[in-house]
Amino acid sequence: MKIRVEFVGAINSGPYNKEHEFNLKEMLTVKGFLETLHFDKGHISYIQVLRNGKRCPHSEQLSNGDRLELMLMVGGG
Amino acid sequence: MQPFARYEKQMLFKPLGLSGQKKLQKAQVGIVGVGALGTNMASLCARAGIGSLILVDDDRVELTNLQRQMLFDESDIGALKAQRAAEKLAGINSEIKIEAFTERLTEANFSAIFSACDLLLDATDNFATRFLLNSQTLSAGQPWIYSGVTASSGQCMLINPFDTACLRCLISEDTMVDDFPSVHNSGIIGPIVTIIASVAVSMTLRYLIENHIERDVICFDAWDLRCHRIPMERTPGCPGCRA
Repeated sequence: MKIRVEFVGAINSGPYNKEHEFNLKEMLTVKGFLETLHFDKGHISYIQVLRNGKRCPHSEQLSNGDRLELMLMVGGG
Repeated sequence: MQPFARYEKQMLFKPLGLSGQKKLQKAQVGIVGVGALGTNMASLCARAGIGSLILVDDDRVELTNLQRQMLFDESDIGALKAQRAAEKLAGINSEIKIEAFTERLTEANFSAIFSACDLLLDATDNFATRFLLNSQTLSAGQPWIYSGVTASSGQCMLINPFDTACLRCLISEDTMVDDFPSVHNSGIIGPIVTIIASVAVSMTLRYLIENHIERDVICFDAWDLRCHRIPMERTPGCPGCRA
């Protein structure tokens, strides 16, 4: 399946552009997808995910054509 | 001087007006952390005429703070931030009450410092204190505004206990990581601090005047000049607010 991902704000997009299309295997959850990226494991729970414009839990399953926005909660003050 | 004379231009803004100004005068706002966000927020709150401000920070001013901590200058290096900020704010607006606490916020001193506040502003630099704020405000039923900045990005969200999502709705696991993106490893540019502090104080004014609850997280990037609104709902089974 193909999904489109936008890395919002301070989140590190790693080797990808701020907007990137991913080709993924079927039956992948949001958490499973995040774990395939370059993020530190401890950071993943601080990432808010919007799936097609609506916040979704990391346990949700992805579908072909999904559009995700990933935002890392930041802590500086 | 006529009462409210200094707020003349602000009161011309119709949603605020004289009645809004009177509400601000009666309000008490607590600011947790008097660093980059905290000094900007405190300055805006004092200038707007919020009647009582409580500042908490146990830290001292350093040279590297001056790039973004707007109330301080070179003569303040080494001074206690909360105390020095209170002195500067008194010079900006002598008609409001300002209290400074130069101690670290803990579970033990939280209610003694903040129990009378209408709203708290998070200007801390760590999630441990934010989780303390979250649990204490849930117990006290006090609204607060989460704000965070790093590099060129920042976020802001009003948390109204048992109504909006709480911080634990968004971050459920007790995962504290040392290398989390922060001012210390990712840097920070001044404009994002001013922008996020301004968004937080706008939310504050509107909450105090209209009881308006902003339900989206507002995200801004001051380098790309992009803004996102992210709708947040309570998370069923949240360990904090038990949605």
